[in-house]
Amino acid sequence: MSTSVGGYSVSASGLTLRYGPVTALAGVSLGLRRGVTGLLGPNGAGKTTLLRTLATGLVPDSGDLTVLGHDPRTASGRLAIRRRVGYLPQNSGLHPNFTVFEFVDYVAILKEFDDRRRRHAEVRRVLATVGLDDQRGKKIKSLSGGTRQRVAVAMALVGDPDLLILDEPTVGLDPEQRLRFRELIAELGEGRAVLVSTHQIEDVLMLCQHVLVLERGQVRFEGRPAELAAVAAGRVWTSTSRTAGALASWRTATGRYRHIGDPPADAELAEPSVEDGYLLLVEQMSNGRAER
Amino acid sequence: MTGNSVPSRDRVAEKLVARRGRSMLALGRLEARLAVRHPVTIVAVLSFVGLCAYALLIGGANSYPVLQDEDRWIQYPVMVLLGGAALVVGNLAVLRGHRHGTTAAQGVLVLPVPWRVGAHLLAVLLFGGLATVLVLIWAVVMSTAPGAAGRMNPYELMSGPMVVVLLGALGVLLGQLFRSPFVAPLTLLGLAVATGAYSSPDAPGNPWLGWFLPVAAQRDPMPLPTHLLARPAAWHLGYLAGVLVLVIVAALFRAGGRRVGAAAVVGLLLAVGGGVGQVTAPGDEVVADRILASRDPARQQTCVAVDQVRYCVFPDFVAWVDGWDAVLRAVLLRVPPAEARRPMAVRQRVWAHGYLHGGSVVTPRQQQLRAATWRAGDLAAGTPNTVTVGTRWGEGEYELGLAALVAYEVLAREGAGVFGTLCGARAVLVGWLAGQASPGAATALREMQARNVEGAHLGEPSFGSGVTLPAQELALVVSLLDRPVEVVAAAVLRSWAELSRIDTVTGRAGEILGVPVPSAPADAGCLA
Repeated sequence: MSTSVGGYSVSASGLTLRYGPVTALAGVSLGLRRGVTGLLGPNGAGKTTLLRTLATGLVPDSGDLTVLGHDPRTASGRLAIRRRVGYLPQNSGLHPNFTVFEFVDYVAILKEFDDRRRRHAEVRRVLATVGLDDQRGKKIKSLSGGTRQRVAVAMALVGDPDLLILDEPTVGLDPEQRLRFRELIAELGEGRAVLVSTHQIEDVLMLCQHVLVLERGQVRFEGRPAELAAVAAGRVWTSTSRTAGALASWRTATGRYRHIGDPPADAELAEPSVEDGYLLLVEQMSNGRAER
Repeated sequence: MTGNSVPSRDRVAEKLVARRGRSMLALGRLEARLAVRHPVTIVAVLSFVGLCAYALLIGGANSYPVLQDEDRWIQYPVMVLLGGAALVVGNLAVLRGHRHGTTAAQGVLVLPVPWRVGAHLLAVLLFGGLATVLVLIWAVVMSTAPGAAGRMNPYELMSGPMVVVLLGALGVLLGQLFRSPFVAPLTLLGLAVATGAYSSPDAPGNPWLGWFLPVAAQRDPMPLPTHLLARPAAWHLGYLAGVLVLVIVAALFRAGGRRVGAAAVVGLLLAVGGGVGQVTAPGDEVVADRILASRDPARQQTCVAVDQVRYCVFPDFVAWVDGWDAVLRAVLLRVPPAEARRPMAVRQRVWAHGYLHGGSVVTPRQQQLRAATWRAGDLAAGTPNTVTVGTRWGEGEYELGLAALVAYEVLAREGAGVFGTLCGARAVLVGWLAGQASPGAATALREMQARNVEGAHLGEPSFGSGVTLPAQELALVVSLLDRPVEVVAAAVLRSWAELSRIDTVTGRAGEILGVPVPSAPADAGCLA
């Protein structure tokens, strides 16, 4: 069951967090609902900081934040949130000498599953969810990269969390593993809020009902993937030659050039994609900064 | 706020603590399972068992263990091997998250860090349990040896497992203070070196400093009867318990635990109390007993008569009489019956007071004075013809020493404390009688000849007294030991009068016994 404020699993307003002189989050405001939300942004945009803050790993300097109806700045709020949040950090390590079962069991203990029978039942449930029930006795060091990533997701799923925070979960996976992962995440998003940080625009397109674009510690876009694509409506063109005037320009598999921004002379208007919208947004923001 | 709300909040808090307690126990069990199968643990346990087995099976000394020494001896390997494993494995367990990059994920899980550290500390108890079991097995095996002397001190036995738990807790603390896995092994190395240095009777510095190390130094030059030990083992155990509590408190505090004030006070009281108690000098009564035991042990001993021989021993060592008697009878078997029937005594002596640190170097003058003191005491005790045994037994060196002193006493009837060089046929006779007394004695004699080109000293090794055989006579004795014992024995008995005369030269002894005599420099300073 999800506790939420106004239907939001996460609600943030003016969230600010600094690492010394560096402002990682500069007044982030957002609302997360049930379903899969993609978090996009260039490197250093503050995605990981935002996810760690939502997972109670960092305390914001200012702003309002409610996660599953609780304030993470209080001890009782953090405790309540931690009981109901699953967090998979970027490049999360695993203990290679543990078996799959031991590792998830270890995490379950840290989630205060104090009853052994109930805990083991939960571990079995989680392993079945990620399709690892037949590999529970294997040492983690013997697993492939994709299987290890499933173990990491299993770790985040212990306790059937209402909010799942996944930081670049598909990094390093081959296409088939990524496809399987999308299936899994989509399934997980059916009954809870899932926030997925990714550099893979395709993941957002395939998975997410909502998308957030973070840039320099601020939310620059919040909406549906189609709305992000619509940002580039009328600004995406194809032509037979490269143009210097476009924000971005590249040769496609058809041999024609695709441009975002102002069209060259022989250009034809093209249907914008989520990636186009994202690129246009990011390029505009960086150009705007350069002009300033 | 209603009247019911406060108890309700307390109840919630209690349930939370109970839940965390159960989670901590579950985590502690998991950590213990991981620790027990860690390669460092397996190697340490196998090494410890192998060392104990080696000590039991190889070397005769452990057929005659002095239990009040064994309970201390075992502490060092317990500390280095089992304690070392606890230190390293406990440390690695704490560092696991950093080493494997799981801190970000597991840092936001529910169980607070102090409870996780508590689980690591609980897992360390496994090593304590393991050490307790292994030490108890060792104690039972040692105590049930037929030649076991004395008794073990339970506080000494408990010190080993306590040190293991202490080092394990230290490993947990070090893991929180330093992110490097090298700090724990270096700490162990430092402790092992310091403790090893302080375990020697000749260690520099003040002896009481050693008591502040986990394993208290063993500084006696020889095993002592239990009533002379007066080791503050109980105080040391209290000191260790106090330090353990303080280490646990520091580990929990470092992890963010703040309700540790009472435990810190208890730990401090235990550590200070135990620390002061353990370095308090032995009481006057014990010192007086040690002086008496060193100068005139008869008043603390019990005597056991076997035929014409009286064995006067400290009560702890009565079990050794049969071993001494076997060697003594093997000597007397080869002397004329009239000599063998004369009364004799074997008295156990210790050097419990005034031991000369830096080696037991004693001048001839000191040897003479000591011999005079011993003989006066023996005369007063009604045992004028006495030979000396110490508090170590079971190896050929000690059998050879006792046999040589018995053989010399049969010839010279001088009493305890003999010191000097034997020459001529008497040296050959004493050397052969001693060497043939047991296989161990023969081996020891051969080894002495191989090691020393100038001869061999035969006597009680702990005191430096005894007789020295010059190289020529030693070589003759070793060649006699290669001949059939009955043939030599018959020749000895036939020519006893001539061989035992002080003026019979070595060459003549060779002729009588049928072996060629190697050349040698002229004898000087022989015993009259």
